[in-house]
Order: sequence, then structure tokens, then C-alpha cells
Amino acid sequence: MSGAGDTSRERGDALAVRAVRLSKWYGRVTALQDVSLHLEPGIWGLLGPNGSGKTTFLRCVAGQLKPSLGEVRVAGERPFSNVRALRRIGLCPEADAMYDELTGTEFVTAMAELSGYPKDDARKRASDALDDFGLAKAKDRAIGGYSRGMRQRAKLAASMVHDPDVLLLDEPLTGTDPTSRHVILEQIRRRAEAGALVIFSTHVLHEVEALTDQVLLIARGQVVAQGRVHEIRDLLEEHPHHVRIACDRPRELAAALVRVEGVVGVRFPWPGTVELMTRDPDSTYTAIAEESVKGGFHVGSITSPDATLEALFHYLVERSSRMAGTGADAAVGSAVPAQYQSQLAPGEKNAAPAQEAEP
Amino acid sequence: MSPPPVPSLGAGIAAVFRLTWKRLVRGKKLRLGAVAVALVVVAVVAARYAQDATEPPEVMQAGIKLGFFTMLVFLVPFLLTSGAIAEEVESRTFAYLSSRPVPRLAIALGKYLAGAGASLALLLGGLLLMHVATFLITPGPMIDELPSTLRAGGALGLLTLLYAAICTFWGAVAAEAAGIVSTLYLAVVEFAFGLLPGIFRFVSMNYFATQLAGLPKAGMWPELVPDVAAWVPIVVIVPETLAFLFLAALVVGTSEYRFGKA
Repeated sequence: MSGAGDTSRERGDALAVRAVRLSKWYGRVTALQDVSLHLEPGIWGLLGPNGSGKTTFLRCVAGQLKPSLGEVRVAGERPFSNVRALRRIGLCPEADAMYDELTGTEFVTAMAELSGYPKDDARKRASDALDDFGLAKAKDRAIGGYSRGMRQRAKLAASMVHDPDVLLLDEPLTGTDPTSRHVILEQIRRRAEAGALVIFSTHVLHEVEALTDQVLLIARGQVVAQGRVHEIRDLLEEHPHHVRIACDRPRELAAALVRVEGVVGVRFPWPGTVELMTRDPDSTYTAIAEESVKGGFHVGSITSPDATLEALFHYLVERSSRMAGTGADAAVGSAVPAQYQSQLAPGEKNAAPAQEAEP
Repeated sequence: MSPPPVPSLGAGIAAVFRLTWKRLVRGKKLRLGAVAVALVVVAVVAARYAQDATEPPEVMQAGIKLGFFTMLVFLVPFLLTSGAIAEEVESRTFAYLSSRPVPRLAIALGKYLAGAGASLALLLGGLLLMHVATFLITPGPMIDELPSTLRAGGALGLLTLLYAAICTFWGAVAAEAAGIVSTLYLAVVEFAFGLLPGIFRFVSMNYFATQLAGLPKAGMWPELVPDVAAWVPIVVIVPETLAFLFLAALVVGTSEYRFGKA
């Protein structure tokens, strides 16, 4: 790479999170596979089902885990056990584990001291951070007596007490009530407005929409899409919807419904059941009702095995696998963004290794 | 937005020490250790006053040997240091420390110093209390016997620091089984080898510490165990302590400690 490129990359890395072919596995379990991305300041929603690799990705960025392959850099530095990178990072882990015997003030003060602030300064910062998160009245009580929402807010206060440039929040809204949620979202927005790069993980699209338009979709350890929320919504609409009908004559019903506009496939998962794949669920449901009456079918049940996002992730992963090696992008964003394709060895482009097991 | 200052090693150790100390003071383990020390002191003092009071120095010596070098020096550092890192890992609070810009060496040393410091305070405090209580009604011997008690205290302190380092190390290496592994190591290498005859006994630092304390040899065929010069225990125990501390710091510095979900 040219010197000019290096300079531009260093400038671009000033507050960026960059992963190049980042992979992480635990024994035979692959948790992250070939993740390449470049995130600039702003709020990024890391969206994925449980066990998809969100936490592993955040832990790699936070310097808790070492990549098995590839690399991750925060502000141009490898974060694992690197104090220069860690001073810029604020991590709010998902686990509800805290030092229950300490008060909120003691806990957050300790975190500020560990971030390099002298005792008095740390105490003042802790007090301000707890006030920001609405814990002014509870800050001198033991954390063990806090509610789930209060604990979450205390964790977030600790993660932001040192004004981090890169804020990593693992499911920050889990278990929070509407009041806590409002306070948390407000503080996250304020950090982003101050110029921080915020990555927060969730498996609820609605939570992402409340904060940002930028999302990363992660599934089975791969970033299957990167883009705007409305693009994800479009994908949801594009993704064939599955309708499962239990009836007395499934083949005859399938023959009648396969002509309906929007129906793109049909299969018989087990006797007495037909499953339709449709891009137009509304029309299809109407047609099912009409055909059932017209043909005198005895319909036992109509269900959809789709769980919206869950189904979308599987769809994107399958699509990503189909397109691997064809040069086509996996989804909205490339599995390996274009700016990093040049860093791969010849023949490595889009060559994702086979996944061994679900994390 | 400017990043906060990187804390120095000393500031990092102090921050980890303060956090760990606060948790120790409010936890159950310190109280349990204090109760164990109190029980031994009370037992020794009761034995001294229940017997013919002509031989309190022997009672004191037996109390130091049996109560402190055979029981408490194993129990107290184990209680206060074996879980120092392991419990943080298992309870998933280790992320709060490792995601901060303190060197991981500071995490290991801060935790060690807090646990070892509390162990020293309990054991040496208990030893001095036992000395005062044993010789309470005989002020003369209280002064005369003080040097030998202080000598035992010095040896006990060295051994406490070593055992704290050993437990910190095993707690860092085998976080999920810190208690069992530390217990096995202390029971086999330190306790059992300390009873064996001949040069086998040299494997146990407990033996060297009892020699440094001026306590009589015990165990199997004590007459077959070679004598060692007074400086040898110090030369052996101090480097071993530093070696275990170094290894503990190395493990903490390089481990991911991945507990919980992927």
C-alpha cells in the first residue's frame, strides 16, 4: 500500500473500529468468521439472534479476546491488553454481574480510578455519571439492592465515566423499564453527539430503530449485511414468507394456491401439511381462505414458522453462502467490504472457511 | 474528545488494591479468616492457663508450630487469595478490570497485595495477640520471649507471602477450579513433603520457614533431615514467591478468561 494510503488510513483510524478478516473460535466452535468492516463515529446497531457472535465481536473490539485469525483495531491500535487502546474504550458487558457489596458511587469511582483519574477527580466523575443516569438518590446504596434497571444504568455509568471515544454496549436495554430505557437512550445519543463511536448489540430491530439508522447484521459469526434500517426492512419484505397449512388434502390445496401471485415455492414437510413460500403474504392468506371455501378443504391450522428477524438472518446466511465465490455481495453490505478486498491475498477474496459448529 | 491519561503501574496497582480491599473487608472470607485465627489463639491461651503455668514458652512454641505453621498459614492466604482472580472470572466481573487501561500486571499485583496484606495482618496480629495473652501474667518472659516470637513472625510472614502468591497463581491459571488446585498443591507439595524424611523435605517451603522460625523438626524421621543455615530459607522462599508472582502476572496478562456465552 502506498504511503499516501497509509496516511489516509491512519487518519481514518483516528476514531474508527476496523476489523480485517476477523475470526474467533473456541475449540471446534466458530464464533466469528471472516468479519471485515470499518466503522466510523456514530451509533451502530449490532443486530443478530442469540448466539450469533455479537458478544464475541464486542469482546474482540474491547480487548477481552484475541482474534484467532485476522485483526481488529481501535483507533489504529490492537486492543487486547493494550492500555493505549483501552483508555479510549468503554465497555458495558451484558452479564448482570456486578460488585454487589459496593455502593454505586464506590463502583463507578473505582472504574474511573482504573481509567487513570486521581481519587478526587474519579469521585466527582462518578457522581456526575450516576446523576446523568438518574441514580442520584441511589448512588450511596449497595448495588446488591438495586433493581435490574438500576444495575444496568450503574453499569452504563461506569462504562462512560471516562468519556470513552469508543463505546461498546452489549444488550444495554435488556431488562430495563421504560424510564430506564429513556435515560439510557438519551445518554447514548449524547455520547454519539459528542463524537463517540457507539456500537450496541441487540436482537430486537425495534431497539436499533430507536437510536440509529446504521445497522450491522450478524448471524452465525458472519456479518451478513451492513446498511440502513430501511434496507433491512426491504430485505424483510423481499424475504419469502413461509405459511404452513395443515389440511386434509395438502397436494390439491397446493395445486390451487401455486397459481396465486407472489407464491414462489411449495413443499410438504410432513403428511397432511403444505408449506408455501410467498413474497406477498396478504394476498396469499386471502387466497388460502378463498380456496379452502371453494374447494371444500378441511383446514386444521394455518401457521407461519417465520420469526421475522430470525428468519431473515437464516435467509441472509443462506444467500451469503450461495453467493460466496461468485463475486456478488452477500447482502446489502459485502461480507468483505470493497476497501479491504485489496488487503486479501489472491484467491482469498470471499473465500469463507466452512463453519464447524454453531456458537 | 481527548482520551483520559494512561494510569501508571503504581496508580493501577493502588486502584486495584483499593477496590479489592474494600470487597475483602465487606466480604465473608476475611471474617472467616479472623474467626479461624481467633479460635487458634483462644485454644493456645486456654491450654497455657489450663496447664501448670511453669512452661508457657513451650505452649507458645507448640501453638505457633501447630496452630500457625500447620493450619492457619495454609488456610488464611488460601481464603483471601485463591479466589482473587478466579472469582472475578467466574462471576464475570473480570471484564470491568480488563477493559480498563490498567496494565494487567497491576491487576495481578493489586489483587495479590490486597489478599496477602490482609493475610499478613490477620496472622501476625494473631501471633502478637497470642504472645501477649500467653505471657500476660508473667511480664518478664513476655519481653524475653519476644525475639523468638518476632523471629517466628518473620518466617510466618515470608511463608504467608509465598502461599498468597501460590494461590494467586493457581487462581489465575485454573480459574474454574482455583480452590481445588490450590488446595492440592498446598496439601501435597507444602504439607505432605514437609513431613517426609531426608532431602524430600526440601521441596516444602513450610519446612524452610519452620527452620527460619527456630521451631523443632517434626514429621517422619526428623533426624534424617539435614540442617540448613539460617540464610537458606530466605534465599529459597523469596525467589519462589517472586517466581509465582511473575507467573501469575504472566497468566493474567495473556489470558482471555472467556466465561459465559460466545
